[in-house]
Amino acid sequence: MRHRTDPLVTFGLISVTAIVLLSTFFAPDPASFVRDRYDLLGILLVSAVAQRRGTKAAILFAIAASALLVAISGLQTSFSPHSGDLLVDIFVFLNIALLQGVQTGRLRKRELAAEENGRRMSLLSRLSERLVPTGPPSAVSESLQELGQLMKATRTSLLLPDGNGNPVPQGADAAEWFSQRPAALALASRVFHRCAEWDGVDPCRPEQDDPSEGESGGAAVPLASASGPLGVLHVGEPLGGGRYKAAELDFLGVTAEVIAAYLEREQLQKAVAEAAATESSNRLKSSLLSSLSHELKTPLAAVTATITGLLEEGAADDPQMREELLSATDDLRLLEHRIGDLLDVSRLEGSGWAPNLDWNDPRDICSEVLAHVPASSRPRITCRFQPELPIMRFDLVHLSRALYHLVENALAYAPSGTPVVLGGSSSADGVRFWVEDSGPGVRPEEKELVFEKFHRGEAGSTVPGGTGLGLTIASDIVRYHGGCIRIEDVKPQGARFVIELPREPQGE
Amino acid sequence: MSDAQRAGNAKTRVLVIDDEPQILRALRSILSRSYSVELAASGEEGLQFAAENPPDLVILDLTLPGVTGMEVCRSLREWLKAPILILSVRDNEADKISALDLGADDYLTKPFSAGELLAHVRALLRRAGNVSDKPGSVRSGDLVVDLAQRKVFRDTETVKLTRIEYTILATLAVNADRVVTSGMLIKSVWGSASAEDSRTLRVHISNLRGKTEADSSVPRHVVTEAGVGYRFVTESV
Repeated sequence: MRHRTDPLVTFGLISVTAIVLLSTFFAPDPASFVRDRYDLLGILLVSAVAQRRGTKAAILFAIAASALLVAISGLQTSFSPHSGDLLVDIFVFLNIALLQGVQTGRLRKRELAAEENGRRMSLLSRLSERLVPTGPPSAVSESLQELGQLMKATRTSLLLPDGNGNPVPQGADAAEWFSQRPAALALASRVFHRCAEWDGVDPCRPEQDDPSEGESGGAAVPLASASGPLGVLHVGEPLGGGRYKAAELDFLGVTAEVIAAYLEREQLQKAVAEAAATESSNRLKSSLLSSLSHELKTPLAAVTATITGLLEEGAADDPQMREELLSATDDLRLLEHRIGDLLDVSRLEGSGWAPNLDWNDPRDICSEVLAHVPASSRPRITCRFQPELPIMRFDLVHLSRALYHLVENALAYAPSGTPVVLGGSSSADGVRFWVEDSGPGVRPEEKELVFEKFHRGEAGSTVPGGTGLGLTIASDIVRYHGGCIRIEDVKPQGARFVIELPREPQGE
Repeated sequence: MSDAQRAGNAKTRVLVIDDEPQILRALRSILSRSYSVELAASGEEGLQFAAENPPDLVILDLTLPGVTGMEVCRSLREWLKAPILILSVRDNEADKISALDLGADDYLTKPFSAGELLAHVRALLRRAGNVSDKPGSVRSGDLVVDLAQRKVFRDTETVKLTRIEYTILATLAVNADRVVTSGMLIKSVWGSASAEDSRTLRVHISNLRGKTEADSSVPRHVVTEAGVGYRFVTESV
């Protein structure tokens, strides 16, 4: 690598060389060869060579200069008896020249390294300024170009993961370049997956391909972030051939960190924007739901009040009329529950709902459930709650609703008139509720499916009514409490739906 | 109210404030047999009618547009002593509690039956009629709360209650058939609504039920109003 020589040094060299040469040729005795002057000149020249061409060149020059001096002195003295002194002098010269050459060469190397570092720092600083969220979209490609120039690479590219988690070159010409260099793509893929797997020491450091094994794949470093690699930074092999030095690979690693930080920031910004959009969509859904709720409930309330008003009034005197009005009242109650189910499902499946946790007596669930069950079915239900159930934090309104759905389900599927038991007891880490019937039970393959929306089960075709949403609502409510729900078999026949609630509900 | 009573007194005046014409129609139809009913279609109208012609009972929908139900409740309570029954919707416990704290006396969740409405209205008017003295004793089925003697009987047996249990029961009994929020109960026992948390209250209520109910899982006297508070029930709806 060339290095600019200090103009002062150049001037010094030229003037000394001129003086020495002039003094030799125009001296009183041109035959006298003042070797000392040439020794000093030789050392200066070795220095200059070391500065321009490095230590190796300087050493070669020193040896050549020594040989030249030996030749000239020998010729001058015709290899006389003083040649022993001559050899010592030349030997001393050679040593001094070599020392001077090596020292100057090292200095030069350090200066070169410092300059190189300066260029790299300057590039990193420019990258940091350019790779900001408000920066131009071409920021990354410009940065890659500059990096390529600095490292003298054949090509610099960015690879980002596709849907399958494999790094893919960005840009049509990058894709073409990589398609002709399978080794490069293989290297990029390797470093990406190794970083993703996090095994081994420092899995996300730069790696260089070995050109001795055929065509070189260049060097690549994964763009690492807290959540794994975001992509790969790849540089083709050096323009002059060969390999990158360790310092260059380290620099590549540092550059990758800057780019990774930029990509991560971009990702975060995108996530924030998406969350804001979801939030506003949820708010819209909420306000739609609440206005829908009002629209549906108002006519329902009016009709319920009117029909039940007729019953109170004495339209009840005619037994048939009374019968029909009572039947209409039951239908209205059913309608109320169905509308309630639809609204519950929308509310629970959106992300805005959270249980209203408060200290409550689990045994209150019994009367809550019974209040919602039609009067004609209440005699079938038995509450079996342990007397010493602990006061716990849960949403009484909604948990009662969940158990109401389990009871409604049991009432529908168990043969008419058969008992349904609603129970509660302490468990190791909380409370257990269950609803048991002596109906047909639930087949093993349906035990998970029944909780899905609109699933009606095998027996469903024979059982009228029902939205197929009740069990979904129940399981959602239980999930929001951090609990779980399962179905057990009852001997000789029937099903027991069991809810386990932890003492510390997850809603908090 | 018996026919004789109805004939004897000037009809009790009920003011209904609701923005939905169907609801107003239905309520008038149910109430006009026993009471003189005035209808207001908005909060502003309701406040105006109440000021011109003070009613004996107000039925107020919480979901009013414009001047909200909550604001009407607060304004009325500044000068009106008559009971206020609020109409609310399902899953709106927070609003119900706020309205009760602002001075409403009870609530009904839509849709409600005519029977429920009339029972609530009767209970509120009964209480309003006895505004000067507390009832001497209150009965719920086989349970009698003698407020004068501070004693509680089940059939004829005296029930031994702790001071706190008695205070809770007495507060509920004085407000028989009307909801008392958990906050109000805590205040009546411990002096301020934030003095104790609801956990302590639930424990005492559980103990109280153990002593006064035949089956604690299905209480008949001290009934839970989920998410809101409790009610001492003297008549079946």
